[in-house]
Amino acid sequence: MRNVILAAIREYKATALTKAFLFGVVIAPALIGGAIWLVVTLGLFAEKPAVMEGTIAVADGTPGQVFAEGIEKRLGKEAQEARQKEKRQEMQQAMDESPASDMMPGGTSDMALDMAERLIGLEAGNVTITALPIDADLEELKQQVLSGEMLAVAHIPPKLLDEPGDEYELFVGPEMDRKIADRIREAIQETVIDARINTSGLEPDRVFALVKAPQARTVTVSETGEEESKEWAQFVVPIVFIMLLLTAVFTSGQYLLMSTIEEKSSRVMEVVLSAMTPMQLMAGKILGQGMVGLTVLLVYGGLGIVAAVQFDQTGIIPMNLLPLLAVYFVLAYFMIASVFAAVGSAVTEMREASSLLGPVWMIIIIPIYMVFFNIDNPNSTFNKVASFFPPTTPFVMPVRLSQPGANIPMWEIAVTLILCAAGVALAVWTAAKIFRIGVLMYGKPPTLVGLVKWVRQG
Amino acid sequence: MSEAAIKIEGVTKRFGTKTAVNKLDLVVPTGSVCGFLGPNGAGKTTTIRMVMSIFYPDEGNISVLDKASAAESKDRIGYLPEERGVYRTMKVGEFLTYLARLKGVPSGGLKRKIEDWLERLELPGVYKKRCEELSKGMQQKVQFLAAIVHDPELVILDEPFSGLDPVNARLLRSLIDELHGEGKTIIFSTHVLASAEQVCDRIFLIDRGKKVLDGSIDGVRARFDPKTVLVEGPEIGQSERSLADIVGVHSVSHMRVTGRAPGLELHLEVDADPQEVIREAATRAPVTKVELRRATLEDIFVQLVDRDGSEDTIRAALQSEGEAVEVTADA
Repeated sequence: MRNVILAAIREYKATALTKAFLFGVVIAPALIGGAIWLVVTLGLFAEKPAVMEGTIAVADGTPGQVFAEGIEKRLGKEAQEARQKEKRQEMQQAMDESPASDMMPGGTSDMALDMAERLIGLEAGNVTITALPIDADLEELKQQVLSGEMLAVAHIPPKLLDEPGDEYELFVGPEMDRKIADRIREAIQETVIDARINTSGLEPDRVFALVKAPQARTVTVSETGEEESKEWAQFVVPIVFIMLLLTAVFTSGQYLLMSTIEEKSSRVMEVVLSAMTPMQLMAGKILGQGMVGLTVLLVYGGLGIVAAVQFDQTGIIPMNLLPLLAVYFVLAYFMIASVFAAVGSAVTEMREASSLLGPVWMIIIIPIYMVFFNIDNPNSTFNKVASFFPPTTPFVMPVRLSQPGANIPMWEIAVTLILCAAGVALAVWTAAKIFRIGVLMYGKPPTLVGLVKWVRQG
Repeated sequence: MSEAAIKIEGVTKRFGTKTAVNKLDLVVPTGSVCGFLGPNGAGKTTTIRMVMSIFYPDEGNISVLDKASAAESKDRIGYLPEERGVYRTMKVGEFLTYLARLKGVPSGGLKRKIEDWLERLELPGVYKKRCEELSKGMQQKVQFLAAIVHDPELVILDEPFSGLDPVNARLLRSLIDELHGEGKTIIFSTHVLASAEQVCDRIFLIDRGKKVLDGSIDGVRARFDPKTVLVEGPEIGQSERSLADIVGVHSVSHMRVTGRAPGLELHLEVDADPQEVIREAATRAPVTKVELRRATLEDIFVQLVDRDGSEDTIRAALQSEGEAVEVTADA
């Protein structure tokens, strides 16, 4: 036991207390986070809202020039200001309904709203609409647009009133702000539609009110009572869990592979084996790298929990599941670690490992991908089958369990756990056999068939 | 303390269809320096690995320091494997501390002990250096230190001189002498026979998995010395038959020394008179040189593991009697 612990400590130190690990696991994510923050912050100042100002000529052939009138009504300074206000309210409402708002202490922050406004908003300015006859001299007007005297020129044929599919022309200068052009087009569209509705003898407001879609408030009914569904949480929580699990397990598995290959290729293996048995070494390595995985899990999981607490969203963390998830982590880790230890012991170079690991990736990764397709339905047949398949149990079950409203029967949890534990025991046993022979084998790496022979020999 | 540090009885080890070690018997007396000799692939490393419980024999028994296996007495054994290396990114001090702790050395005072040893091995100031920063020769010394830092009773060194320059080889030899002086049992394998001759008091010769020779170095020398007469001459090959008929000559073999005149080795009977044979040889053949040969270990080695003439030479060796020398072969 002394040797196992000493080997585990060495393994942990050699992996986790290195600059590469600190950088890869701790500093790099922090830098990425910092970069995102920086981009967002800079974005706040980067774009000043454009000011909509100037003269727009509307060549309009309708009787009473209803188009020009409608456009003026929509683009006048007061109209613009009123519209900004309305948009801001809409945005506020949209944000309040979005999952992101749940993470903002005290609802939507003004900062977020300001930012959104800067990105899509316009500042209201004085806009003059000049109504012109439909046969006005377009060439001259275009020159005025080019010289900057005129903000834009719209040529709207009267037949647009009756023929919904037809086009109109809008001439803008080469340096026209995209958002201003959008706003002008929007005003023309609305004007044309209003005019059409009016011509049909209907009330535009009434028509818009009629086509407004109803909003749903979804409530999940469960045995513990009703709760307002957070549909987004249904996806976010399992995905976060599986990502954490995969990151932790595969990071440490990969390190285990590398350190075993290093021990072999640097020929230090036999020196070490003069002091302990291969089994002690393997156990020590697996334990030590398990601690590395746990470190990764604690760093990221801890960050997640801190974030959840910060944004007052601890409710989405299924606290009652945490002990079970710890069990799945251990199982997943031992499953993967035994494979990596066996492969690491059998080869002498990293690139030789990939050919042996290929089939392993297929067995584990494909079901995980499939689970993401099945995420809406935790009890789908595929998910159930994958739960009973030991290599994928520890990856699939947490996804299923952590989805709100997933009612997985107790017996299923128990049986899959037992099956998985048996599978892990078999994997460790097999790995031990391969490890014992592999650690002192040099030369041509074995094939999968060769590994099976080693298992029989060992 | 028992008289035998290592006892190997009827041990056989196979890898697939290949028999690496075949029904091997060997006793290494406590306190001896035993040279483990044999050509490449003879089974030296396999035997050592079985002694170290890294491999397990298919048949037979091994007891090491009175325990049924080395696994139970690993802390009392120092082992420098043939395939040896260091953890490249580990610091020298950490590496040695790790191995010493694995061998049960308490951590108190360990740092001091390691630093003293590094001094003695002419490696001052490397404690805090990463292993990869050291030269190959320095790494070899660190590895040697790793094998003895826990003050073992039995030290097994597999090809300890390979890769060492003459100065460091001499340093290592003096350390082995020193360990021997402290009463430790030392086994080392080598194919550099000159170093074995200088250091060992016993030799053990293995070829193709079988023991060929086992005994004290003086005994072996007495047995093989002076039992060969060397004759050289340009046409000496034609006189081979008449030379073989000389009374006291048991067999004749061709010498394999390139760049010299053709030569024959006359292997003598145990009771033959070398002077008589030399006189007779000079009269029977046109010789340019006749020499009574003092056998070096290398001669014995080459003779005994000679692929072509092994039957004769081993037979010749078998005829010699003696309490200290045991020669086995089933030719």
